[in-house]
Amino acid sequence: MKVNRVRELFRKDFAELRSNRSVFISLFVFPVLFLLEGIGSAIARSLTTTSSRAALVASYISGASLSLDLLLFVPVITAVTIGSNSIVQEKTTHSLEPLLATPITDTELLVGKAMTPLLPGLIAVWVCYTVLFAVIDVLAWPVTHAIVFPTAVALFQMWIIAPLLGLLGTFGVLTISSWAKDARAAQQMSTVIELPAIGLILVVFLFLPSSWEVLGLFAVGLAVVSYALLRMAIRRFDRPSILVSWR
Amino acid sequence: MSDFVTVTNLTRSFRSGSPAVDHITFSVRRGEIFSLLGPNGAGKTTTIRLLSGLIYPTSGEVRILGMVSTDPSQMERIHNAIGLLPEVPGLYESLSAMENLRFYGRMHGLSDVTIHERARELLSVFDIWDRRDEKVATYSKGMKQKVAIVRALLHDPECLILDEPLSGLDPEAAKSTRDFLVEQRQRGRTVIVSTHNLDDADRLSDRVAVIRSRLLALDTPSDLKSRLFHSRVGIRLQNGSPSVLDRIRSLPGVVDASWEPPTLMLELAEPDNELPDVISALVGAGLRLQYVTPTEHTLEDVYLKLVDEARNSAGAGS
Repeated sequence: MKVNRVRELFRKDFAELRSNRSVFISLFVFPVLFLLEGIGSAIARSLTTTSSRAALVASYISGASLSLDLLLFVPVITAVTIGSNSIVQEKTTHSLEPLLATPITDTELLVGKAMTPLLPGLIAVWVCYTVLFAVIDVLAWPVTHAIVFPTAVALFQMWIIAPLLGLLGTFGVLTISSWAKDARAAQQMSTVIELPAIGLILVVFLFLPSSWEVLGLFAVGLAVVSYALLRMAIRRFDRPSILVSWR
Repeated sequence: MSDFVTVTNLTRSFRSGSPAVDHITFSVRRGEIFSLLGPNGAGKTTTIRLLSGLIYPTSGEVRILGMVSTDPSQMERIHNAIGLLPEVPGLYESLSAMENLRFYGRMHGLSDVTIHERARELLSVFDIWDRRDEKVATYSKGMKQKVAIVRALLHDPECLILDEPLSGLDPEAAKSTRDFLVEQRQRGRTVIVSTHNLDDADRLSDRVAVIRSRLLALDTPSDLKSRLFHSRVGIRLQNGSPSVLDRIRSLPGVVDASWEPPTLMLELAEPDNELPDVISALVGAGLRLQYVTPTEHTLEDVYLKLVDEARNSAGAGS
């Protein structure tokens, strides 16, 4: 696999995405809303008084956790929003044929196509987590005199769970794109991916007791499913049939 | 002249219906302009895709520079040796012409300096260099076609495969593109063209292949014409009439005669031998000849005859 070809495909896709301003701006709506929710919650905590320092720290952590959990939706939503159009658009605008006439391999094409749906959502999550950690620490410091964030769980969510969710959404969409018989079917089927992923996030982070065992199992499950989807996407990706059968 | 492409028993079937391409065998020599002619649905685009290695044959094989088109280990060499212009330009409309070319150039491993030099040279030929930074969406259909031709040539391929390269071009642009393709041949580049435009094919091609799923004929345009039709001669008469036809038809070597006032049209088996006798007979009959003009059958005549015969034989067979 040649990295420069993957990078060029990502650059091109990202330039196309950026040129579509309404879609590009809409990608920031959810991260900004979830971030504001976390900041608002932290400000509210800073106005309440509690005697014990430990109780204060705990209240800041619990106050931010909803926002941190909600931000995990972002990589999935972004992956599905951008990814469902990724290969489909190349086909419908007839640019897939000249693209496939270049020396790009199937793996380079799929990896390159995975970058654009994956990276913007992931970067948004990382930026929002970092901003939220900083805001909470600044607000909490005068009363707690302690660094509240990042906690180990928050770091795990940021660096392990968020990328895995992004990969799940991206590979799921690519599998469907390779599978679909036409462009509209690919777009409609892709949205179906969002539902189980979002349901899973709700169950694990809002309803199940927070523990390392649950988080670890969740991460392993995501990794296994994402890998299976990637294998399926590569196996099912058949350039001749996409060229001749899609309308 | 060695072969650039060899096609052996090439067949491509799709799920429904008869094969789009059915046991076609031909070769394309280096440095020639080779045209694929055929009616809609004859399998031209499928053949172009098979030649470009974009789709794989159901049976038979395509060899490009001796490499089998389906061999994954040779894919990079094959795709670098070919420049493809598909039926639809397929440019990225939200990007500029230069951004499009930069992307494709980098995919072929070209440096930015090379891409810039090649783009300037080629876009200037088509008078688009000054508009290189404008979004492709703002271009006319003809301009998009030109940028797509430049894209096909950017990595300096040995062979150009062009699907309807002149469609959408105005007469001036079509002429400059034709001249450009002839120049490419002069530089030793192989050019494979699929076209509906028989006049263009006649003027451009060294050889033409007429296909209708199967290969109906393959030869130079002039040999195809002489193979399928007798030589035609037009004799303009000052005092002619249809009554002259009976006398002329009875002469040896005259295959057919028709009266297209004021010209007598003759089809002769061997005009060099028979024309003097025909002229003597006409003069002997008191007719005054103004001038004698050899007239050629066009490639369109050849094409229509071949396709008609194929249609009739398919109808008879079914």
